[in-house]
Amino acid sequence: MTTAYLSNDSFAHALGKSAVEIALATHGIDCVDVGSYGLAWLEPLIEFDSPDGRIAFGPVSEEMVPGLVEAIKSKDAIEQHHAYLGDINRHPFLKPQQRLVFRNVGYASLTDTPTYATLKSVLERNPRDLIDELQTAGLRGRGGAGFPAHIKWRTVAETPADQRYIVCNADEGDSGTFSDRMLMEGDPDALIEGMSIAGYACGASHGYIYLRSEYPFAMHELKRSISRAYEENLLGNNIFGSEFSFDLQLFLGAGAYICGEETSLLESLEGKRGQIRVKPPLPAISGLFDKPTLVHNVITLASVPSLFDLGGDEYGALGVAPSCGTIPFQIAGNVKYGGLIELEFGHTVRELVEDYGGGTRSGRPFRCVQIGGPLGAYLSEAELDTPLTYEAMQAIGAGIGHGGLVVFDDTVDLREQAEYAFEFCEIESCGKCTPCRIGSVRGKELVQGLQNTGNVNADIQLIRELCDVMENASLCQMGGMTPIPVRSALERFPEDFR
Amino acid sequence: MSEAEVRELLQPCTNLVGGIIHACHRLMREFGYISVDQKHILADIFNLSVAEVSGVISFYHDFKTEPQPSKLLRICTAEACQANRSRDLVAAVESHLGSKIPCQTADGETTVSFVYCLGLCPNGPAVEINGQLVSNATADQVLSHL
Repeated sequence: MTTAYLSNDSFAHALGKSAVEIALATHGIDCVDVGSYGLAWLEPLIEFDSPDGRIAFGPVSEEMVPGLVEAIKSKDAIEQHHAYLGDINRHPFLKPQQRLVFRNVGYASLTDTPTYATLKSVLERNPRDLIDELQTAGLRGRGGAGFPAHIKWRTVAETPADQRYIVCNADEGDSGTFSDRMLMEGDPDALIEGMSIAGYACGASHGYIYLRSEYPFAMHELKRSISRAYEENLLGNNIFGSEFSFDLQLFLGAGAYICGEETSLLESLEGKRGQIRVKPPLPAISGLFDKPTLVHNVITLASVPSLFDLGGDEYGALGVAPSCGTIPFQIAGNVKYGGLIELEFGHTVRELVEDYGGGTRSGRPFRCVQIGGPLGAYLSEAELDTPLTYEAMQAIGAGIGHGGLVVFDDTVDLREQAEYAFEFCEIESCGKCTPCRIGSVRGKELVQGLQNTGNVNADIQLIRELCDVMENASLCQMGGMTPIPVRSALERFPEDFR
Repeated sequence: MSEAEVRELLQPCTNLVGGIIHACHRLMREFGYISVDQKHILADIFNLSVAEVSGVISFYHDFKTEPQPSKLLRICTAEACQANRSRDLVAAVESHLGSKIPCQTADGETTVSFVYCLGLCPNGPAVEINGQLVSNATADQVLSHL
């Protein structure tokens, strides 16, 4: 029993993975780098091969290594070890999950050469068939907007052009979200294969991954996978001996949240200031260098190989139509058990917060959960039974966004959170439109002033009116959605503003 | 580094889509900031005006136009870390430094600033110290680096 699989995810690195790896090496144990299963509180997580399959331990520290090395020598001692987890697939956090996008993450070694079997099989099919199957599957954009993917694909494919592009939005900047990062660090080939399939279906020969600079480990894994794919002729000319050629380049962002907005991202990719473009035209018609461009988030594109393996009908049967398939939720903030939870749509917020999250880490009472990043709504206890579908969330003035849930205990001050929502918009606004550029500053000042004002009601009314202006007159969702956390805080937690 | 060497460093970027961003990353890695002279070089090789180059550089948080201290400490202040009391961590660090973040330490060796999400959201507060990621960061731990 000498093969060890050690999580190479940022979670593990931030909790001392390197020291564990070095300590294991001094005992003659070499580690195979794998992605994270997404049980963040158990990182660094390590597995050892045994006749009964892999046996997991976590969290592992440098100091524990000598004891661990001894323990794995005998079957009895293994189970006595305080970090023993057994078969990770039977862990209550992982067992009930429905992993499609994340089917390989944690299991597959990062150094193994992938086969791209799905790409190989779809290359024998008509591109239009693929788009039809995508429509049957009902896949919607996982980046936040939830727009039907097949409409984008068809538009790009059918717009006459001499050049089309596939662009992956890997500028995951929302707080409480890390599924893109985990996927790119744990199974970057799923993304590359998904982009190649999209390229074939849409008639695009060039792809770009726009990666945020805050994710250095993801950059490393993507670089490794892209160059390996070129070596194996899984990227480049005449892939699998077919007529299809696809080139893929990695592009590193430079610290700007707004570049997660697709038109801002395209400007940045063209080497300009990341200021948004007025839509229309939509990028699917006129995007990168004014050519038809398919812009999707990481998870949308990485869903593609597993979707085609499963088949459009079966994929579409998952979830609650028209919220079809699975989505990797991410539970974070003040929770006992945080991490990645891939499930079909339709589970309730409560299941994630309580059954998976296990309540607050601080042990104090739950107060609220923010869903969908900094532009998402703060929900109260009363709304926890809302099913996680695009439709049900919209009905309560919220959204799924990128699938991130951030839990707060009763020490949170929602006035501070509303102020922060405006402040974040102020810092990250691209400055192109006035409602966002100026509204964010005025909003912050108004919320700050509530503590000293003589007339709270009048000022809250003013904040509401400002929210209306920002929502209706901003050019993009940055200014347009900043009112969501603010209003949700005002409506659900009015006592914090008095 | 001579002007010719800077041009040589940046040359490969001219063939890339969005090459100026690649070039700015290279300058940041090599020098820690982008100087006025280098802006002129960028303008020349990308066929832009110096004003356009300045416009690009000033838009992105990662690009600096002044020399930076050798060390960088960034505290995540996004919501998930706030839920795990990053505001208290920030207050402790600011009280130790005697000034508001972003700032530099008195010895001028470290920049202390904020970052909006390192993607370590279940294990906050998250901090990045000279490129090293740290989860569940405590005030003592952060102060030991200042």
